[in-house]
Amino acid sequence: MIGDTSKEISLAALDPAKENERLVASIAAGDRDAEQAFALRFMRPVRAMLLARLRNPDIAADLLQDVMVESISALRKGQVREPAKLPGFVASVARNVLNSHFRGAARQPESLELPEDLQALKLEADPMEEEQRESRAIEAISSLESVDRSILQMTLVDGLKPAAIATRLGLNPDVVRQRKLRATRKIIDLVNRLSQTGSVVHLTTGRRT
Amino acid sequence: MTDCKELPGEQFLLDYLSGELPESETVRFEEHYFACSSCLARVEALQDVQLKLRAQPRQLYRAPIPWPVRFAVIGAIAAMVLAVAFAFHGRHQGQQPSIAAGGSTPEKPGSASMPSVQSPSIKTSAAQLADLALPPFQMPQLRGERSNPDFKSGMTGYINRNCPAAIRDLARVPAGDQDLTAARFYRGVCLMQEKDFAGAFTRLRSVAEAGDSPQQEAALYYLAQIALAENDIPTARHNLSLVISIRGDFENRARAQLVHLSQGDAGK
Repeated sequence: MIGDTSKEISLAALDPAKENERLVASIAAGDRDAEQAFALRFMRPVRAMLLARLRNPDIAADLLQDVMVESISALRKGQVREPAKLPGFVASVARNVLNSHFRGAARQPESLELPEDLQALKLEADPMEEEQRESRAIEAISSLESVDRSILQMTLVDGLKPAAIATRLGLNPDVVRQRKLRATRKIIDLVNRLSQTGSVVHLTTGRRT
Repeated sequence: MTDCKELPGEQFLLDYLSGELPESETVRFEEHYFACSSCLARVEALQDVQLKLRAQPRQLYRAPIPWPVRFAVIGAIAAMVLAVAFAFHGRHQGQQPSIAAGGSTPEKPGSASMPSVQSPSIKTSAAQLADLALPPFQMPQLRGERSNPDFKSGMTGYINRNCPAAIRDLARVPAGDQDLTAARFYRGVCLMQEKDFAGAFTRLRSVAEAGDSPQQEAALYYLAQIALAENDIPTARHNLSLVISIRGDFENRARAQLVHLSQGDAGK
């Protein structure tokens, strides 16, 4: 069993590889709590990866469930060769699911009976957490000058290069580069600061403190 | 949250989210942030902003005069003024060394300012090809940003084409300062302008090897120019190829120079 939450946090902080090994062993032994801990731990990085590759939140949400189901299915069967490298294993499952999606294959996740009490495997994001993330993003964007907002919008949404942005905004390309990097740094710092002052979600357990 | 020793730079993150990283680097970074909460938090922060920005309406942009047009107009005016001045003095100058000092129009190196490559020796051609003009610099006017005073005074000297003063002041920018990379770069090009190629090479190489920065591509470009000026053609080719691979503002200039070098080879 997963056991005491605070103990889990300290264990993972001390030795992530051992925590991975224990998680893999627990799931193979049929521990449903371990499956829940696994899902909560990897839901965020898998979502981030799918979003980065797909740039479509709806498809990313669909594939997220496939990745988690396939990962847990493999873990239950004891198919993870190097338990200490569990993050790499999950990332490779996510890449396989993505590749199948891009090939257009009608991929069907292996039949897996999802435990009813495994709320995390429904992979519905915590509405409160989503709301907080959205608020932080809005606050970060509003902290930028309008020209920096435009530069980031053209970079992150339109995929334009500094030279093209500079032409559109009537700025020197070097200035665009500087502003872009500084705005990015500002956003990361602000969002992370806000997330630390608000409620914190530990990646190791996914449990709110 | 900040215990990661390999936190990616801003440009790296933007490249990742834009799908512009090579696949091998993408995979390596993803496997890293699957186990690194600090890096995952950085990715998520930018993704949240990316999603919000996608939903936001575009602002009305002012219609600017594009930079190439501005350079062309300024260049044309400068050329006319010079022509009138020369005509007034009624004197012909002899052939000047083709290594340009400051004031050339850096956006068009492949046209009028490009020296001929029809000379008998490819080595002479390579040296003539070197673009040693100081790149333009515009002092950022970012609200809330504080530049290091030595950087500011150094760049004021730079803008006024006072390279000795710029070299002196930029050398004082301390390690760890946010302007250090830019200081190294502009000090490097000033040293290049002063023909201290060894000193320039050291500074520019440190900028090029430091990774993502607004000056990385330009540093590689000027390293190639130093190599050209010293007739080190293999190094010049290598650095020009790196510049082209970045696909930035110096790409066309680098391509033009590679073509010139190839023509020189063919004519040998």
